[in-house]
Amino acid sequence: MRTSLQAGSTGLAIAAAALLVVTSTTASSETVSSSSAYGASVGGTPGQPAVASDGTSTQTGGGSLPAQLGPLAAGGVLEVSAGNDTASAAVTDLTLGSALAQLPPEVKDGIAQLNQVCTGLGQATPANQVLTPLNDAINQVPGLGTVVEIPTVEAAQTFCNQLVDTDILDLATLGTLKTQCTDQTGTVTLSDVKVLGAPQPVLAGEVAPETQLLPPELAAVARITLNHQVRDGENFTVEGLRLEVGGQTVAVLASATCGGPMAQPAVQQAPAKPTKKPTKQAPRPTPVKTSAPVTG
Amino acid sequence: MTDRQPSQTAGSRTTSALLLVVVVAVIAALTSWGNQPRDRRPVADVDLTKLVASTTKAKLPRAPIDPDPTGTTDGTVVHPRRVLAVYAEPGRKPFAKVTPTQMNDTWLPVVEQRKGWTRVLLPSRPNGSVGWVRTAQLVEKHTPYVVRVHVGSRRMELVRDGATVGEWPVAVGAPATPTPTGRTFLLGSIVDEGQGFSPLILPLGTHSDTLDTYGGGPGTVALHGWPDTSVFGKAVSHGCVRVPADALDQLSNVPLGTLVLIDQQ
Repeated sequence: MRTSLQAGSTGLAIAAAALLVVTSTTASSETVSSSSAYGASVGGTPGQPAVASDGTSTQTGGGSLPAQLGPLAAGGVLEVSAGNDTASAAVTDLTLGSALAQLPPEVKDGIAQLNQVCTGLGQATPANQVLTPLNDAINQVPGLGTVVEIPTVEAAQTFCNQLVDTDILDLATLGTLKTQCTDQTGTVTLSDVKVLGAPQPVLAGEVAPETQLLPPELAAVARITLNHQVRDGENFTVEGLRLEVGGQTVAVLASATCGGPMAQPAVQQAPAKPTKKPTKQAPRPTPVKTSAPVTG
Repeated sequence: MTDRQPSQTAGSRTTSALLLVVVVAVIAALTSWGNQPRDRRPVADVDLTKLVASTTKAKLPRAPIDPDPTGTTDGTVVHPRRVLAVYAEPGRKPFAKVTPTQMNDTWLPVVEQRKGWTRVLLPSRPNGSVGWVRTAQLVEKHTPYVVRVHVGSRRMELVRDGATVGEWPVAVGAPATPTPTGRTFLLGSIVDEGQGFSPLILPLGTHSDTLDTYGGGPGTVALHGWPDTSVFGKAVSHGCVRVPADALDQLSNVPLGTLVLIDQQ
C-alpha cells in the first residue's frame, strides 16, 4: 500500500506555471525579520510559486496550481507575498474534487454499485446481508478495497453517509483560501464557500487552527487539515490546507512562514537574515524632555 | 487516462481511488460542519489595538507577579522592535502589549527565557508585573549594572560587573509613603521642567503602594536628585529615592532596563 502511495505521489511532479513579481519596498534595516510563502507543494517537493524576503523588501509572486493535483484541487490562482515578518499565500477560485467526473469508468461504476448497496442499507437487515455485499462492492472499486474494510454495520452506515453521487462534478469550491502570518501568529480565512454547489456562508471567515475536515475514522487513511500551524525555533509556519495520505504529506496549499532565519522551502532570491550577533552592552540613555510626574 | 500505459494506469487508479475516498469524505465533513452550531476557537491572530499598553500609567490586574523579587539576572535587557503582545504564559491569550518607546526607547530586564520566548519585568501596576513576549522581535543587549537601594539603611549602591562602584546615603519614602521593595528597573531618563527639584529624573518600573496618584501621575517611583542635601539618609520622600548629585551623575550612564533591587536592609 505504501509503495503504491509513494508511486502516486512521485507522479505528482510539480508543473506550476509560476510568475514571480518582485517589488521593492524599503524598510528600516533595524526592525526587519524574514518571511516566506508558497502556493502549493506536492509530494514534499519545494513549494511553487514561492517568495522569500529578508524583511527589507516585500516580494510578491503568482502562479497557478499544479495540474497534477488532479482530483484534489484545481483551478486556483495563487498569490504569494513575503515582507518584514509578515507573509501571505492565497488560492483563489479553488475547486476541490473537480476531477471526480474524470475518474476511470471502473471507479465510477464501482461507486455506482456502492451507492446501490448503500441505498438498501437503511432497511433493517441482518449484518451479514449488509456487510458482505458492501465489502464486495468496495473491492470492485480499484484500489479502494486495499484501504477500506467495513467490519460493522455502524461503520457501513458511516461509510455510506460519506458517499456521493458520481454525477456531481465539484465537491466544494472556495472563492479564497488565504493564509497569513505575522510574527508568531497566523490565520487561515475562507470566503465564498460552496459545497455541492450550495453556498455555505457559515463556513466563510477564519478557520480555527488544526481544523480537521475528515472524520476521525479516516485518519489512518487520510487527513485534511486546515490552518496547520508549525513552530520551529523562531520560525512560525501556517499552512492553509494540508493533505496527508497514509501518513505522508501529499500536498500543502497556501503556506506562509514568518520570523527568524529564512524558512524552507524558499526561493534563493533574497539574502538570509544575518546570524545573531553577540549581545552588546545596552546604550547609555539619552534623556528626553517630557512630563512624567513621580512621587518625589 | 485511457491512453496511459497499464502500469501507470494501475498506480493512477489506486491514487485516484484514495483521493476519491478523501474528497468524498470532504463532503460529509464540510456539510456536517456547516450544520453544526458554530464552535470556533479563538483565532490565533492578535488584535494589538485591543490590548492595553504596559506603561507606568497602566494597571494590569491579569499580569503574573515576579516569582523572584529579590533575585538578580545575567544583565540581559531587551527592546521591542515593534508593538508586541504580552502573555501570562507562552501560548495563552495576551493580556497587554509593550511598545518600542514610552518616555525613551523601551528597555526591559529579562528574568527568564525559553525557546522563542522571553519573560520581562513590566513597568505597570501591580508592582512586580511580569509577562512573556516573543523573542524574535526583541533587540537583546546587556547591562553590566545593578542598582541596589537599601531602605532600612537609606543607602544606595551602584554595582558594575559585580563590584560596587559607588555608594551613597539617599532619602527614601517616609513611613506613611514608603519606597516599595522588590525587583524593578530603570524605565526612563527624563528632563521634566514641571519637576524642578532635579535636573534629571529616572523613573522606575515600580509604584507607590500607598499613593495611587501623585502630582497628576500614577505614583511612579523614581531616582532623582534633590536640592536640599540634608534629606539624604532620611525617610522623608513620598516614595521616590532622592540621591546626591554625584550619584545622579553616575546613574545617568546606566542603561535603561537595568535592575533596581530595593530591599529592607
